[in-house]
Amino acid sequence: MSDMEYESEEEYEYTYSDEDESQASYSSHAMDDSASLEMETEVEEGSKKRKSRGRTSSLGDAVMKDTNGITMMNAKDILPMMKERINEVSEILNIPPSAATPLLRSHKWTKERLFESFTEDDGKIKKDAGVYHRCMPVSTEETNTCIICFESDISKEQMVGMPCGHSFCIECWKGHIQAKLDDGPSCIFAQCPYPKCEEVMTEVEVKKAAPELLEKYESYQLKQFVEVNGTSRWCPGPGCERVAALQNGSGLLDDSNLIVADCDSCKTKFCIKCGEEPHAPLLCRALDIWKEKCNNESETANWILANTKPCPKCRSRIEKNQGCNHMTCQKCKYEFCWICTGEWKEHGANTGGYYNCNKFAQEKNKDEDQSDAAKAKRELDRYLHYYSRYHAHSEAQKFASRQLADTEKKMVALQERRDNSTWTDVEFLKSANEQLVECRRVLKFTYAFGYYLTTPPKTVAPVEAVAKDEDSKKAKKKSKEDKQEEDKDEEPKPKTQQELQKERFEYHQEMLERFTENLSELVEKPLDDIDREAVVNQTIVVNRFMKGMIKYVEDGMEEGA
Amino acid sequence: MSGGSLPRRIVKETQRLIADPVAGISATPYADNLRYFAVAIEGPSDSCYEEGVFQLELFLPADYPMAPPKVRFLTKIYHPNVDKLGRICLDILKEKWSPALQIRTVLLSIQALMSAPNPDDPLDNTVADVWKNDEAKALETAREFTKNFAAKKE
Ligand SMILES: [Zn+2]
Ligand SMILES: [Zn+2]
Ligand SMILES: [Zn+2]
Ligand SMILES: [Zn+2]
Ligand SMILES: [Zn+2]
Ligand SMILES: [Zn+2]
Repeated sequence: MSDMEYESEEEYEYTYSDEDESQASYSSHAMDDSASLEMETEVEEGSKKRKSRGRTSSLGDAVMKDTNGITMMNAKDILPMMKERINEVSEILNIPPSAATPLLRSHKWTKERLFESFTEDDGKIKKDAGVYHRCMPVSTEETNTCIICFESDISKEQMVGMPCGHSFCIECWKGHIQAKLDDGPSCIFAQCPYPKCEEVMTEVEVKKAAPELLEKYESYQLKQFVEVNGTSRWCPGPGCERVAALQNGSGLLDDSNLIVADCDSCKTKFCIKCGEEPHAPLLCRALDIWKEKCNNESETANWILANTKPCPKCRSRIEKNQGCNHMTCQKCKYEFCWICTGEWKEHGANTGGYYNCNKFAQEKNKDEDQSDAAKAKRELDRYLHYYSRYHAHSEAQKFASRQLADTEKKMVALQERRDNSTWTDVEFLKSANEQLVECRRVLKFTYAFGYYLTTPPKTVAPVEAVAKDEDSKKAKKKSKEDKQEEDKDEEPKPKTQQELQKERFEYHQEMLERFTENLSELVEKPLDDIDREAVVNQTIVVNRFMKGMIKYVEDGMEEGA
Repeated sequence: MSGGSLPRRIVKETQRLIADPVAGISATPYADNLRYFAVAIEGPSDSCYEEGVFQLELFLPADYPMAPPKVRFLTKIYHPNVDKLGRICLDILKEKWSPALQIRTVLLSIQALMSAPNPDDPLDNTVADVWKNDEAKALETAREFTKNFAAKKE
């Protein structure tokens, strides 16, 4: 019995003070306001003011509160949260902390879930988690022989037992633990070395037999906690080891809103809910579905997306090597839109119509072919319409990111050419490029969003994932009624709620696209021709419009918004 | 016996295998590599491998017994849990390995697997399909293989 006492575990008891928690609730609007304020200050005070960023970068170790309810921290800073859950479960269920850990682990670290299944069948739960004997130790048979190395005459101190009654010599334990650590993260699920014994090994045995490996073992425990506790996520930045923790709200599984984490160490921005790059206005689940679709369709889609296009006038191949979609053929000087290959002039305000290449005009021909093959073709066309634009903005986003990296160089060059200018004086270029990257990203996802906005009722699920539930239900009901009317008479049917919504959304999208193309053109000019005033103004306009558009979608795309 | 740098455990296991062999199983280490064993398993009686003798090779990796031994059939065998290269699908040779298991227990488990093939956890899908859909035919093929490839040499 001596091996089984809990006394060695008291170091795992941890008193956790939660003094930090009260400061953690900020609304996400606070961030928006400060960000736009930052923009305005820059304009009003111009070059005189050195721009101070709202969110300062921290120096490595500090725990940093962000203003949107996310805390950036090192993994070890999340340990108190883990210990708190372990100790609570240990106390309430009256089991050692080393048994509480595997139990919590098998219930996604949710106490409530664990307590619930515990009341149903605690024996089964304990067995499944591998802590049956740890909760109710059996006595170890005194033995001086190790069944792994066959050594006999081993002293009592050199034998380390498990609560299941199996014991092995320290040397064999070390080998077992090291072998499990070599397997990586799965080491935390390692079981008793005895054949088919399902009792799990814990930090208690590691500490007794191989204290030099304890730190490594516990880092794997912590890693698993970070990954499944439902409120935190590793920063996806390459090589970055910071953790983003959500301080309040219903956790990462709540897909009803988007929260962007902004890593204080590597500057990576990511969606804390799913770990992808920020993807507003698309919600996480819709993004999943969209990516899956793009994967499945990639072969079909690729032919249309070759990186060169023939000039619509002279047919010479033109390679798109800049972010802007306004193309000028080097041979015949014909100006056209990369996305639709339509004449650029027709895209401008001066010809009356705004940018209209974002619209997918589904043929409304009444006699249209209703065969399955024709329907499939139309559906593919519809997908390609959205995908090609998604892809074009994705490429432009990559380009803008490269531009951003080059901007520093450009900034230095600009400073050298203009006397009396300060660093701040040219930082507008960097801001403009950052804005461009963000706009391209948002535009990219508006096309995935747009695709699901008009998904025919047959594939309803994604629509529900995107649109606010009530609105989409209303819209679906409405469109059904309209269909019945349509059958009766030939009157031009009134637009459905869904169609109106789509129109308004595409109008916003059009505007954002237009503003973005403008900014892109302004920034891509040769250094000497860059008009500072125009770039600064356009950056502000675009930023404001982009935020407005995201908010418009978040608010359910109500009329008058 | 000169074990060289061979761990005591391997030496002891080898001694026991020779001194106290399991019925129907023989395992002999190669003189030039004491971690490498020539294994012969007699087909269990009342199985479709009856009357056959199956040659296997068994190797103890450097981290044995923390890592499982590597075992492979050398004799062609028609079995849903053995693939064409002779590799064996057996839990204790993978995730269910325990350092307290021994060469002896591994070989006994393989013998048991020959008595009770498990087509629901197949390594060779075509064989497993036949096993599930037409067991009589599968058993007949296995007997044929046994006769053709595993016949006892007089
Ligand atoms: Zn030992
Ligand atoms: Zn055990
Ligand atoms: Zn990071
Ligand atoms: Zn997400
Ligand atoms: Zn041309
Ligand atoms: Zn166009």
